[in-house]
Amino acid sequence: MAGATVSLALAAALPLASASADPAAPDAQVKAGYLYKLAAFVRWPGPGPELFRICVSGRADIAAALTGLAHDRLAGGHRIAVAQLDRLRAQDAAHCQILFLGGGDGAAEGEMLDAVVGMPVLTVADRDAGASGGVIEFFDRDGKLRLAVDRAAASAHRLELSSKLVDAAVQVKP
Amino acid sequence: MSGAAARNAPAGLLQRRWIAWLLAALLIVLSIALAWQREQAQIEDQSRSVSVQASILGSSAAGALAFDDADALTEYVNALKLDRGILAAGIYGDGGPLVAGFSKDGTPLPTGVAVHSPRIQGLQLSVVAPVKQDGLALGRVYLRTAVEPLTERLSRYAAIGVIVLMAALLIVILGASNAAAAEANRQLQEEIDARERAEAALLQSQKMEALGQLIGGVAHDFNNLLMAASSGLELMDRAKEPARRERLKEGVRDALDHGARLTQHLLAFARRAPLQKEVVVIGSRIDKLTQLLDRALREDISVKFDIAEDLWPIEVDLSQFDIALLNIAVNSRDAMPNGGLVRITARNRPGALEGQDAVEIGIADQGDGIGPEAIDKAFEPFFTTKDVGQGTGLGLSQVYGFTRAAGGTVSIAGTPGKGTTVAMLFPRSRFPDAVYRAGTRPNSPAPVLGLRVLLVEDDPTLNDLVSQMLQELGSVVVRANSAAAALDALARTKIDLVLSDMVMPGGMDGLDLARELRKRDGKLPVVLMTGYSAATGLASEEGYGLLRKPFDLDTLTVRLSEAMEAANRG
Ligand SMILES: Nc1ncnc2c1ncn2[C@@H]1O[C@H](COP(=O)(O)OP(=O)(O)OP(=O)(O)O)[C@@H](O)[C@H]1O
Ligand SMILES: [Mg+2]
Repeated sequence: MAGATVSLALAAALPLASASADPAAPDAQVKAGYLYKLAAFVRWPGPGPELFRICVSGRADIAAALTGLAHDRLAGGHRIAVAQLDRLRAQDAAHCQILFLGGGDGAAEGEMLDAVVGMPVLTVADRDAGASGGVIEFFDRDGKLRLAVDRAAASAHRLELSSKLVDAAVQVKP
Repeated sequence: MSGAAARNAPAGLLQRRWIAWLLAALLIVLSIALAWQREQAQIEDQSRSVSVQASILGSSAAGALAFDDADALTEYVNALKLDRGILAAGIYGDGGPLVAGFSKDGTPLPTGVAVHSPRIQGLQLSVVAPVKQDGLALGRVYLRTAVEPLTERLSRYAAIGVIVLMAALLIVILGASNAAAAEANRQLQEEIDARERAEAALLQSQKMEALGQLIGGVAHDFNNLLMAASSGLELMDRAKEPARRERLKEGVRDALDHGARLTQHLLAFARRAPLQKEVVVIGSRIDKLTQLLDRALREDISVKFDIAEDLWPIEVDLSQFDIALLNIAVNSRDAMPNGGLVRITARNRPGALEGQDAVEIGIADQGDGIGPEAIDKAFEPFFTTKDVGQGTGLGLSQVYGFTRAAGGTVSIAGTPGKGTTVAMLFPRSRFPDAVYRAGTRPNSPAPVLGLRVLLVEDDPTLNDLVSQMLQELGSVVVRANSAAAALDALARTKIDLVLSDMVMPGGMDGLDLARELRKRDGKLPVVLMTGYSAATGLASEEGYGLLRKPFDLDTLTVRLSEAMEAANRG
């Protein structure tokens, strides 16, 4: 309930027009599920925030799917909040635990990446949508969503990746 | 008592059989329980290992399950195919769909599964474990394994089972053989009991027989005494002279005294006689003992005394001592049917009685001897090897009782065919000063003492009475109730003097006998007793000694001495 309230509050800040304007792409559910599950395979430094924030850039449909998934659920013992970011709020990226770069606005996402350098933020980039530079990148192979992992980037963000996650990845950058 | 034992035996037997069976059953139950427990532990082990396998699979599949890597999942699952025990394995996604899996035995994998701990269905063990990552449920893992088939498990236990069964069998067999042995034992015991009962019954009947003889003998003796007493009284009625009446009275008193002595001897048998111990040196009693034995033994048996000098005094009841010696000597007599020598020895035995000084009196014969079995039992009351009517078995029993009462011991030794020796040990008296030198009657005229007199008298009462009188004088009496019997006795026995009644039934009276004897052996003195005067003249004319009835001890002594002197003069 509390999570729902927060997400609603955050959602109120979102530009509603873009979210409702795009019809949900077929990959949205899968990518939202992956983003949600990723939290279980990564360890963040420190005690962690009260709210576990998953920020989505450029894909309102994924943000919406995530909101549905995370409804009434916890991640690492914390309530989950889903937020959509845009250029105006690029600085806010530093407050996210997971930052998904949907590849819509390259300049804005570059700003977001700059904002989280050295911060404990798991950056996830959708490679097929032109985004890049994430600790984890999504890409399609044979009709299936696959993972690429950059371990050096993970260390730079002070994140610990589960070996299971690394095993599940198709590409691993040391 | 033996009956109770016999009654108890089967109960003990049953109990023992029962225990053997119980032990065997216990052993089997125990081993079954142990096997069952092991079985349970085995299944628990297997359950645990299946759970562990499931959670390992789940944890390694977590990544692939989360990020939809079906190939990896299939790989993970297929790795389990190599495990022979695993029949089926499956990985299910979070929503419930089967993602990867296999089934070896044709049973299809369940379509949807709920998490459950290991459970057994038939010969299969299945488990469903959740797949989680950091608290996030990702799906489920299903595993089914084969429980080891019963036959295989049984074959594993077969060897142990065989051993257990053998042990149980062994216990039962041992129990049974034990029971059989107990049964045999019981039968043996029963036989022994029966034999003992028979022996006891025999002994009892022997005792009764002996007792009957004893009583018969005593009754007979008493009867004679009573007859002697009553005839004495009768004679007293007729007698007018006060002196004669006095003498008859004495005769009656003698008879009564004799009865009293008899009673004392009986009491001695019964060990109830008051002991009258005297301090005595046995050497001083040789004369008295000679007399005693001469009277009791046959003439073909000679007695030799061998008494050491300076013999220590002992303390004994003299009348009992005499009876004991007599009992021993009579046994020797009976053991020497063809005559022989009885040797009586007395000597000091320093420290022989448990360290105390003692005097040993030995009586040795040259008779039939005695076997070890009889030696063991000789002192038991009523033990006799003699024919019915010959022995009561009380002789040595009296000797035993007497020596014990005197603080001494008695032993018997011998070899069959080589004679027997009885040895009595008496403790040395602590009162040497009080020695009472027991002697013979001082007033008996020497020629009469120890004389062997053949008494011929048909009246048994008088025969007894006169016989008693002769014995009082220290003579040895050989009794006959007719002239023929007298001639018989003379043929067998050495006789110093014949004292015969004048009037006797049968072809031969006293005078005839006297004449016959004079014909055979002119020197043998003959004294005739008569109560009636007509025949007396003839007898004295022919030179025979004459004794008028009734007579007293003194007259008897005088007549006998005269006859002996006349014979010696020739
Ligand atoms: N001198 C002996 N020689 C051989 N056997 C003897 C002799 N003395 C005793 N015995 C054995 O011991 C047995 C017991 O003797 P014991 O004097 O007690 O009884 P008994 O002579 O048989 O009968 P009783 O003396 O009462 O007339 C005799 O029957 C005999 O077998
Ligand atoms: Mg005897």
